[in-house]
Amino acid sequence: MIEIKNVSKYYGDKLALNNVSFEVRDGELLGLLGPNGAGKTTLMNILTGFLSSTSGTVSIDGHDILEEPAEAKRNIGYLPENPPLYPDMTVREYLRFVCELKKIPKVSREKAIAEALSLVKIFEVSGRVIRNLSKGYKQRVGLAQAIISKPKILILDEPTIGLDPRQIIEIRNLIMSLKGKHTIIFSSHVLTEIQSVCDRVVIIFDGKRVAIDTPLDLASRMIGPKRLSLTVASESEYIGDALRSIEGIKRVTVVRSEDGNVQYELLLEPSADVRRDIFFSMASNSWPIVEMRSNEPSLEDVYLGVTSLAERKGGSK
Amino acid sequence: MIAYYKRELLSYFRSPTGWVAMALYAIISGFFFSSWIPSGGFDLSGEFVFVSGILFIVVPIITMRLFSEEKKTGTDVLMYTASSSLSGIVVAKYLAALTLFLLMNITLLIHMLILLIFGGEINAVTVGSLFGLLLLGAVFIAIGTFASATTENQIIAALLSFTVILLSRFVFIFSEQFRSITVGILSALNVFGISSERIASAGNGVRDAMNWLDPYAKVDDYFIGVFRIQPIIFCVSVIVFFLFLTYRLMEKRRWSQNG
Repeated sequence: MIEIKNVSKYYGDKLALNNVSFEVRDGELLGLLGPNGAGKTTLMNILTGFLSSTSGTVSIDGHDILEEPAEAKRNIGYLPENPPLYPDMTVREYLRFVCELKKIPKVSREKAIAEALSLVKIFEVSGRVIRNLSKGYKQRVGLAQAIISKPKILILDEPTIGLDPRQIIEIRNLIMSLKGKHTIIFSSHVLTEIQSVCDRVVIIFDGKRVAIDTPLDLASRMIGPKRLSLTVASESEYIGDALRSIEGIKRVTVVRSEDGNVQYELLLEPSADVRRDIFFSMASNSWPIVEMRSNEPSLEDVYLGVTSLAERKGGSK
Repeated sequence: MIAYYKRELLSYFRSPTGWVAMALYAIISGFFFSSWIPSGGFDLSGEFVFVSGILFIVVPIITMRLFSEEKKTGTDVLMYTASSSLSGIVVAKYLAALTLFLLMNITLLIHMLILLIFGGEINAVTVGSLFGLLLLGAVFIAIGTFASATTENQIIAALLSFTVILLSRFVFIFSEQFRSITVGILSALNVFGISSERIASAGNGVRDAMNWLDPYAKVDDYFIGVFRIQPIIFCVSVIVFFLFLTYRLMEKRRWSQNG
C-alpha cells in the first residue's frame, strides 16, 4: 500500500504540489489525471524518491521513501515520461545493466531479461541499439526496465504520450495485462484512456488533489442534473409547453431547428426517468420523435467541471 | 556500482569520445616522441612532462559527459531511483574515466618499448615522470568529474574543467602576482606601522599558500626521479575531495527546492 500524506512541494516560490494526500490500495490500477503542469510528474518523482517533498511523507508498504530509501525503492518500478534509456546500448545490454543496478542476482538475470522482453513483446529487437528504435519500441524498453525486477508497484508517467493510435492501444493493453500482478499508478491527460483502464481516478489540478473516486462514481457524483437530448420532427410551438407539463423535467431549451426538426435539451430531476412520458405525450399529439438520447456524464464532463471549479476558486482567492 | 563502471567504459568506445581522446593523446605524444628522438634525446621523461602539460585538452574530453549527459537525457532518474548508492555511482564513473586515461597511456608504454629496443634506457627519472603524469591525470579527472556534475551542458562542463586545469598549470604565476598585490595593499594601507620586512613575509606567505595548492609543483619531485609519499597523499586527498563534492552535488538535486 502506498500512503501519501500532506505532500507539498515548492519550486522556489512556486507551489507545485499543495497538501496532497491519498492512499493507493494493493493491486489497484490508479489513474492520475490532470492537465499539463498540474503536478502529476512532480508527484510521481516524489513517490519514487527522485525528488524530495518540501513537507509531508510518502510511505511504500510502511517504508518511508526518504528514511528507508533502499527498502522502499526495491518495491518500485518507474517509467518516467522520457524513458531513461542509454541510446548507445543494445536493448539486451541495457536490460542487463538495469538488472545489475536493481541487484537482481546473477543467476536469475537472463531469465528476468527474457521474461521482460517477452512480456513487452520486444524479443525481436533485443539485439538492436536503442538509438535506432522507434518511439513505441523505446517506450516498451522503458517499460521492460520498470517491470524487470517484478516490483510490487509500477509507476508510469504518461506512458502513451507521443505514440501513434495503434501503439497507444498496444501499450494500454500491455498495462491492462499487468493489472493484478502489480499495483499500478498511471498518469495521463487523456481521459478516455484513464476511463477505460483504471479502477480509481485521482484528479490533480494546480497542485491540489481535487477528486478521487472510481470513474463512474466520480461522474455521477460530480455532474449533478441529468440531461436528455430530444429531436422532434415538428415545428409546433406547443411542444415546449407539452414537455414542461411532464413531471420531472426542470427546464426545456431549444438547441436548434433544422429542416423541420427541432432539437430540445431537457434538464431533468436527478432520479427522474421521463422517457416513456415523453413518448406518450409526443405520440398523442402526432409529433414524431426522431431522436432521443440521454447524455450520460462522462469523465470528460467531470474533469472539465472539476477543473473549472478549481480554477474559479483559485481565481477568487 | 560495477554496472555503472562497465556502462561508462562501454559508452566510451561506442561513441567517438574514447577513440578521439586516445587518438589525440597518441598524436600529441607521438609528435613529441618522433621529433625528440632524432634530435638525440634518449630520455622519455621530457615527453612525459610535456604530455602532463596538455592534460587540460585531454581530460575535459573524457570527463565532460559523465554526469551532464545523464541529466540532459533524463537517465539520471535511474541513479536516483535504483537502490544503489549515489556515492558508489560517482566512484564508478570516476574509475571508468580513469581507466580510459590509463588505456590512453599505453601509447607512452609503446614509446618506452621502442626506446628500449633501440638501446635507450629507462631510469628512475622516466618512471617517476610517468608516475607523476598519471597522478596528475587522476587529480584532473576528479576535477572534470565534478565539473560535469555542475551542469547538464557538456560544452560548459568541458570548458569549466578545461579552465580549471589550465589555470592550475599557472598557479606559480598567480601566486607571484598575489604576493605583490598583498605587499602593495599592505604598504598602501600601512596604518599600523608594520615593518617592510613583515609585509614582505606576509606576501611570501600568500604566495606559498597558493603554491601549496599547485598540483604541478607537488609532483615536480617525481619529474626529477625523486620518490616522495607526500604528493600521493595530496593528490588522493584532492581526488577524494572533488568526488565528495560531486556526490553532494548529485544528492543536492534530490533535495533541491528550486526545480
